[in-house]
Amino acid sequence: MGDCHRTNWLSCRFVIAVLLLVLVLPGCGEESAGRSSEPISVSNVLRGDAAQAFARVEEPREFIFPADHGPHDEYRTEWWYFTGNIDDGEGQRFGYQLTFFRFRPKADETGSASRWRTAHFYMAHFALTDINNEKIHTFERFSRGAAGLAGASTGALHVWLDDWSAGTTSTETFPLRIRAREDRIALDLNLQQGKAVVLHGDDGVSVKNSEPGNASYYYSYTRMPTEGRVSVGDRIYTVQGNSWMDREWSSSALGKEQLGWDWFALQLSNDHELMYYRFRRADNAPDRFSYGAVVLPDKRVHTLGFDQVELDVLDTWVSPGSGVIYPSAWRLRVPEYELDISIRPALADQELDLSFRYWEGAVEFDGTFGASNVGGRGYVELTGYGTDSAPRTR
Amino acid sequence: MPAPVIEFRHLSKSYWEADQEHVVLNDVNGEVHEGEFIVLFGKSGCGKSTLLNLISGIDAPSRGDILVEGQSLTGMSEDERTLFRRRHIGFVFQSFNLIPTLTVRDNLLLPLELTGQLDNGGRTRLADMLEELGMAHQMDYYPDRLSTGEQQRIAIARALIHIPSIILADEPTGNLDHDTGQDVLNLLDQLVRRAGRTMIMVTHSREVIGLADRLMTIRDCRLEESNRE
Amino acid sequence: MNNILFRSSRHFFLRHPWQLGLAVTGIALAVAVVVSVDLVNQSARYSFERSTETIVGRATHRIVGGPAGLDERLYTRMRVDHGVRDIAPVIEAHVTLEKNEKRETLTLLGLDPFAERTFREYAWFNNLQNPEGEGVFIPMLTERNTVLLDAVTANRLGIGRDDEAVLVTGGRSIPVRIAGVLADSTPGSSQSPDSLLLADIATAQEVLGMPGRINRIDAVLGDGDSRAKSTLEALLPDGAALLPSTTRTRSLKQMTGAFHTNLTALSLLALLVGMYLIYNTMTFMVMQRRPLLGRLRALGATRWQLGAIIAMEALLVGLAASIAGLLLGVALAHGLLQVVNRTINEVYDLLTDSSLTLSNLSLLKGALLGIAGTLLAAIPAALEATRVTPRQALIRSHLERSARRLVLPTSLAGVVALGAGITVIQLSSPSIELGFSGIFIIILGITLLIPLVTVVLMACLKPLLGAGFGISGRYACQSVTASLSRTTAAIAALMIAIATVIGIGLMVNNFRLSVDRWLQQTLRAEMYVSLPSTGTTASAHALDAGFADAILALPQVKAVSSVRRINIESSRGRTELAAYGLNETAWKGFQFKQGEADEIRPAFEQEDTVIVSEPYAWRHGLKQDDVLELRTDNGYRSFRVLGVYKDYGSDQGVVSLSRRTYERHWRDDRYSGFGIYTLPGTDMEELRSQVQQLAPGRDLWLQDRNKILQTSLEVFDNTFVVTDILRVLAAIIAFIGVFSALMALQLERSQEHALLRAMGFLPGQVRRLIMSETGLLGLVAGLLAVPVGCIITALLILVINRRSFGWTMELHFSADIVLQGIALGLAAALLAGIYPAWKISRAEPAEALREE
Repeated sequence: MGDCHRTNWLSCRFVIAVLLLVLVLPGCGEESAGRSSEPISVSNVLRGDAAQAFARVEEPREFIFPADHGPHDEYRTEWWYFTGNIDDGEGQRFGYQLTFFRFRPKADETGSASRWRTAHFYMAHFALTDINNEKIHTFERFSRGAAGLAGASTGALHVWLDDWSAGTTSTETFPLRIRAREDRIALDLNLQQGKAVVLHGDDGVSVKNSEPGNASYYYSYTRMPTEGRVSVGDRIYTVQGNSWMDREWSSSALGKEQLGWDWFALQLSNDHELMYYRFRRADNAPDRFSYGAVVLPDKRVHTLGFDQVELDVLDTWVSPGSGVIYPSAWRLRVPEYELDISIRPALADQELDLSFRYWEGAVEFDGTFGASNVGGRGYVELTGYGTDSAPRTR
Repeated sequence: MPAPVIEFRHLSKSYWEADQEHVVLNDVNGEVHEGEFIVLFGKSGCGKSTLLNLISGIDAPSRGDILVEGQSLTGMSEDERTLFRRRHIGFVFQSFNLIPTLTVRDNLLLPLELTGQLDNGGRTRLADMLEELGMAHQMDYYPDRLSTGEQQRIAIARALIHIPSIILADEPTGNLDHDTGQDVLNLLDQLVRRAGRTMIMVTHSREVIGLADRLMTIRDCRLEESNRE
Repeated sequence: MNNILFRSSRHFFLRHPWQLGLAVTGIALAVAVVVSVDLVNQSARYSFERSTETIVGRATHRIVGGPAGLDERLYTRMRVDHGVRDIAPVIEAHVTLEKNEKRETLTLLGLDPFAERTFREYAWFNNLQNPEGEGVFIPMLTERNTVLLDAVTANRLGIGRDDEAVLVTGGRSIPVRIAGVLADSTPGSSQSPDSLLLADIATAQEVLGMPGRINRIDAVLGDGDSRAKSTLEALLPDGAALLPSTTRTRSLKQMTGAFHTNLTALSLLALLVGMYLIYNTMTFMVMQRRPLLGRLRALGATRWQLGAIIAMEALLVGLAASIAGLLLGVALAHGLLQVVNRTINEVYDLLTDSSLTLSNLSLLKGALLGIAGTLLAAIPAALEATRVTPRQALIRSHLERSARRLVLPTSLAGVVALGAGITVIQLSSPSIELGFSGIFIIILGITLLIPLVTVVLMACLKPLLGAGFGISGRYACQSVTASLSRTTAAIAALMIAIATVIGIGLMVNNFRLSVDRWLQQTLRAEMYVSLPSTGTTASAHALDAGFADAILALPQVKAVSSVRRINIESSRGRTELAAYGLNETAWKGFQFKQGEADEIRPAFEQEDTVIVSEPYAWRHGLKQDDVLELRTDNGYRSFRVLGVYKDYGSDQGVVSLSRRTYERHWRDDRYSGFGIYTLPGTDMEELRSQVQQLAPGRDLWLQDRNKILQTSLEVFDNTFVVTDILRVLAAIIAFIGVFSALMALQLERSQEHALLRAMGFLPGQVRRLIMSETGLLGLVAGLLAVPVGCIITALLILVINRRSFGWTMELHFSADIVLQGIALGLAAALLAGIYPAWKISRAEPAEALREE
């Protein structure tokens, strides 16, 4: 439980750098597209207004839904983030991730008669882990938030980039329909709300480090019943499972000393959910802005400070593609809840080697919760691993 | 004694070739009388042709004087020498005597045209000459249809047709075989000698030397005279 | 043995430096002309491919619309609703960029970088000339009027990064900032951009004033991916079409193809003449050395050794000349390129690279042509050398005698060639290349007839000249016939040169006359107003009906006619369409080759009909009452062709229809220009300022009729600058050839002249003889050149121009060309006779005679 303001959001530094890289070097992109060859250092590429020019996250605010499902244009970055574990009931298991990022490099806006002129740019990641066939499919797209090509509608949850989309299908917010398709992989799912919305940090203000104003507004839906279809090549699977949705927006960047984070979103078999992220520091000291939350079956939320969660890495995995070493098994304990679980990835190689490189994948875990046994599935995200911490292109 | 037809005194001729002076004739003296047949003898390239050229006015001496028929050539301009030569000299060369693009007839008419003798007298002479040569039927031939011997005979006719006072012949039989050459020499003898005209001939033929009145030898760029041996 | 042979060659060359020099110069010039034209043609071709690659990129197809382009929402629908991936929106227009008092026309490309991954080679983006390597895309995408400029144009205009410049389009001036300079080609990238302005698609829409519209959507479809193709086609609205990209390159090449073919033909003419030079020189050199050759044979050289010697000499000459020619050709090409580019830009409204592409293939071709031509031309001489026997060496006349025997067979061959040439022309329509081949064969035939004509002419002239000048007169005539093989070659070359000069000049004159007459008839209004021709028809900047009404409201204005010019792309290529709003007077401007003006008018105005210009009818095989399909905003529609009219304005041809018909089938309410009809006695200057005031701040193109006439003819003259240059060059080469031939002829007769001098010919007399001989040759050449020149003119007008461009022209021959021809011939020949005449009169006959 915390009165401290923690931050969890994908580092602004990374996102900005990624988007800018992408915009400077349009040669990068999807799984199969060609790459340009020259690495560009982040500082050279970064060019946009300083964080000070945008609206800043400083105080709690009232969250109004469905309005707040829409974009918050006055902030620099924002995303809509979906992950989930689904299966077809006959043993075929999948994990998926679909994320839409909004980025605004300049605080000022020029009016124009052209519908292509905009201040906002979008990036989307789509990953499908085919656990049985031990394969992960990853895709990346970019667009401008204009001319109807990409964007997010105001007042409701509806975000899209080309023909990938996530949004409401009726006057009601839920069920959400998320759709993504590329090459011969397709996803078409309906997500119910499940548990109520969870506001992270201090009533939704999630502080990331000690510099003032470095925080984000952050909420999640932690257990969303899901059903729909997954296509892999010629095969279509009818699936169901649970999804997790994260929403976050802010204007400022991570600190220099923070190299990256490990983020866990776990859905326990006893109707609890656990979200935890910890920052990894250059000096290897624990980062006190690491943060966690437990969502109880009665929908109450208890926050966890950095000293309330113990996380040990049990194993590592070397990526054959990039040579980066990632942790590959953990033991997570929350003494307060007598929670002790060991977590394993459903598939070792769930690395996304796109405009920036990170590991994000479906995991499964089991252990004890108090007196009883507990298990479940979830998603883990590992960023900032590798010899160079700056995003690069191959 | 009447004045000599040709007289040359202290005649010298040299020409320049690449900054070097080649002396061809050095202080040559001599005279030729009317009706004489002179043979010019000497090694090849020692100036025989040059002397002929000087006498005919084709060339001008470097030093000395030439008098032909009492007129000094050295005082004349080239045009004047040309006009003089036209009238007074007849030339027979070793080869290339005839204009190949003119008929035999036209070749013979050319000197007549030059000297303004295209009147009946001239034309009669032409017809007579051809008759005498036995070549009247070849009047309209072009030189390339004639044998070399025939060409030379026409050449002689051409050299004589304008009744020049002096005939200069530069190895006229040089390209001919012995018999044809004999014919040519006979013709020369007949038309020139018997007619009492002056002739200077350059030749190597010993036989011709035997026919000459006098022999002039050029040796070491100098002239030696001797009577025929 | 070989040593002696080579030394004799070298010695010979040194003694006749003139001959050698002239031959080398002639061939070098000929090679230079051929190479330069080829380089320029290749440059243009590469430049089209490059600009196409830049502008088309790797797109295999494109989706195009009508005059107003495409609705941008089509693109969004395809991407978002239907998930189509490999497509990209494109805006393209010509604009003018001004800086430092200089201006250039460039292509403005408005792109969406996000969609462009598959389409364009962006290696040059990585090398943006930014020292700190800062990104330019954020500014490009978020700020207005921010563009990227290619390095070559930036250099020319003196612009660097972050500089400001002024972009002019549709009469409007817009300040822009150059956010970056696109680098020169990088290793691994084959294309480097030239004359390119790159902007974000939003910027392009703003600058060109076309919100909501784009020009086209580029697409990459896999080979044989017919399913993707039909999917795309199903999504297209009426008025849009899916076309393969190749049509663009194809139509670019086709547009200027005729132009380039004509250039090449001219250059080949130069080569032909150069070959004649070699023939002449080689033959002369053999003739001069016959005694030597004969002696060499006597010493034991085989015939083939002698022939080989000549061939070797020819090869060396050819090699040296070709190398010199290559260097000269490259230099010439640089200059020629500027002229050709300007022509292409003005006439075809296309941009071509200003830098020369040095194609190794062109250089190799030129060198090989030079060497091959030299060897070919030396064959007769080499063969002649092999035929020399020891005895014959002394008889010059042998060659000529055999030449004379060949007169009749040659003439026969000439007649056959004439017939063949005429047949080729008759049967080869519409091929331009075959048309030129036919002309060359006809010229060859005429050339083969020259010996006969010469002999006959000399035979006729001889008695005349003999009567007038005596033996000398006959002598001159006879010399011509005596050296027939050489004199006819000289006559032929001179004749061709003069005939070409006359023929092409006459053709251009006729053309100009036709254009002038046509302009006089077509321009009916007193004043014309339009926007400078940059931008795109999709732009909203175009003139509108309100402007026309305002003009009509002016007191001096009696009537206003209108025109709208657009380009329609369809699977058949590009069609230029002109929609006219005409009154009675304006209608009279059309001169119909097919169709009666008065009968046509009602149907033209009311029904779905068109009239087409001559070139269009020619290229598409259309005549009156045929049906033409055009792609309208409602899909393909049929239009009846009412008539064919004369139009020199475009060699691709134009399809014209009435404004009413146009508005029925295309959604477009704009105009390209208006014709203003004024009351008599109107002050043009005053009217001009009044009209300008009706559109303040816009840069209008406003011209009165006379000025247009004058400017058009200037453009015409500019267009033919290239032709003129090549014509003059060919003539120079020919004259060089003739010069050397005639000189050789005289110089080799030095002994003959010496004989004359010995016989008492004055120097002046010999000079006159020489001059009259060459003069005769010139006379014959000049006389022959007149009909040949006329034939060339007729063929150029009736065959080449017609097939290249589809135009018919008037054919007038003026009397003074006869005089021109003869005068030119005499002048050239007499000029050629001057040097030998001078030389002979200077030489002491003694020297010549000493050579015996």
